[in-house]
Amino acid sequence: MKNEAKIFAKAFVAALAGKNENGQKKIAKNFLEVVARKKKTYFLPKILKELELIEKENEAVLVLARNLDQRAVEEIKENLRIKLGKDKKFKVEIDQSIIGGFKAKTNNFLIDSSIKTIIENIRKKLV
Amino acid sequence: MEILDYLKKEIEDLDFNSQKEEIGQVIEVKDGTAKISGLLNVSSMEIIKFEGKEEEILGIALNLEETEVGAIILGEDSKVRQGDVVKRTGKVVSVPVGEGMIGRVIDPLGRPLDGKGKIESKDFGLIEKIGPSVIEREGVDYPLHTGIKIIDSLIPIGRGQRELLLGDRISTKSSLAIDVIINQKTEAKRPICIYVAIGQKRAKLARTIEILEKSGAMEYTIVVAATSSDPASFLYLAPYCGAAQGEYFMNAGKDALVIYDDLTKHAWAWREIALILRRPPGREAYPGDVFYLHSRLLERAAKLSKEKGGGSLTALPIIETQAGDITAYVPTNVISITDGQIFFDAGLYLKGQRPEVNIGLSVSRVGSAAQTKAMKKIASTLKLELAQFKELEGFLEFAEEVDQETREKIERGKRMMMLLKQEERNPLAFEKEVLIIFAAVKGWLDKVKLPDIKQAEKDIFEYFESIKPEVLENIKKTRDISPELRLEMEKGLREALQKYEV
Repeated sequence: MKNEAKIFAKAFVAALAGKNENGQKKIAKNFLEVVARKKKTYFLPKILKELELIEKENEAVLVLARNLDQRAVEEIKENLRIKLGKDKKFKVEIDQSIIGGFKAKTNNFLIDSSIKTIIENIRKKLV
Repeated sequence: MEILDYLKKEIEDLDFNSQKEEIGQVIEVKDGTAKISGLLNVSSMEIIKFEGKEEEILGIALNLEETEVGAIILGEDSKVRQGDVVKRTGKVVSVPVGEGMIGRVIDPLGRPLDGKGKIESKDFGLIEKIGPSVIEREGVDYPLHTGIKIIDSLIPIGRGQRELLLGDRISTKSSLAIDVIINQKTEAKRPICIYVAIGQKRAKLARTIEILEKSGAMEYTIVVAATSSDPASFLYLAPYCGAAQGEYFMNAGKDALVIYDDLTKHAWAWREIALILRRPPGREAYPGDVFYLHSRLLERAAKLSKEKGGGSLTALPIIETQAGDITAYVPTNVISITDGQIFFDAGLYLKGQRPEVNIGLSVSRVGSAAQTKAMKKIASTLKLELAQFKELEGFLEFAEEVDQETREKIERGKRMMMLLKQEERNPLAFEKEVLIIFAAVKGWLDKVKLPDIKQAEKDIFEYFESIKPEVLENIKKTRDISPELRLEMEKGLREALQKYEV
């Protein structure tokens, strides 16, 4: 059985892409119209859930040891998008305990280049 | 200086290039299980790592769902927290196996529990593995002597066989299983023994280990322990770990014997895990795969063909029944999987029969193929005479006078029943079993008064050990009773039993 709610949600996100605010509003209205016309309004809660999942999928966290200048952060993000997917939206967090380097985390993947992990790895190797 | 160079090399070799790792996040922890989001490509039965604040804890992915993964935690679940990162390892569950394990007490992950230091082992055995295929197997033809007269003569167990021991709580199943291990000490082709304790009290386990150590049986025994205070995941893994240990020796062309004590607790542990993981409950709330749970475990016991090295893995699972009910769910399952069962009757236990084996309900489907020629010759008569005795005994309750022949049959039957009694921790060597059963079925003990039977047995052994040791030696070596040997045995018996002549 196909997950129809997921298909609706994906179509909605695809239609939204690249539109400005007014365009997005229009798309949202049209989307609801389509759902109603197809008599699938009872699907709306499920579609909402799927949308949340897609949103979550694109969430990503970039952990840094200290504030870097904007250009460096953008550069790191750009490179990470190549590795982790172009739609990822990074939220920058500051955590001094990683000492240096960075950690990038999405729902399914982790790229760990922090100094703390490197030191930890050396310790494991030597013990 | 050397250490410095070593360190330098180690540090130079370290790979600092960070990789894209597949992770997930703990969203829920309950009773030894965890629900994880993410872990996109994890496979079933894969080991995963919970990266906790203080330490890394291992887990096994069991339920793979659309967006979530259900896993069991191999360790304290209180140390796994919501939001913890979980990493894939890409490895399916395996344990270290090998010669180094012999004489040790280990947990189901192969870590030592006996405080005797690290275990060196190069080999790993898979926890979950499908047993040998049909063409890799061979018929069971070599006996595994238990040292228990009633079993070796009437319900023989062969190497590579699976024989179930089942009975109520009070029965002496575990104790008999330990006697079987102890008896292997004097066996010609000594099998490596593996005792898997599942859900037992720690005190009881400590006592068992002490018994094995005192009798010198630890030299060839591995104890795999998951006690009642361990998480259910350990209880679930323990028998598979035991099977993996045994398989190593089987594949090396040796014999191994593994005792699962007991599989009832194992089924309970699996039920607990399955219910918490929200798998649908079936009969008696067991999950649907409780039959497969035990069948895949016991199918790993086998006698391998010559081409495969001819090794064997014998399995003695133990099942605890409730009020002697062998038709409950788990007992019937395991009865149908194994090649026979030995039923311990609580009624016989209370009457003082030891071991309290119910001969009528016990069977070995391998049968006399797993008996030596010597035992075959005498056991067939024993079986017949006992059957006749049981029938007459019931009949006799109503008859007052019986003819001479019937009375003789009954008297002999009584003596045989007395002789088949055997105390705990007293397994008999194969040659002694043959000698004493020979004496009984050929009527040598008919003259001995019933209360004197045990003493007569001792006298016979003493006589043969001190005056005719070559007879015992001969039985042990040839495993047969030749006509000349038979004459020697008869001569010896006549002299040994002289003082009982009236």
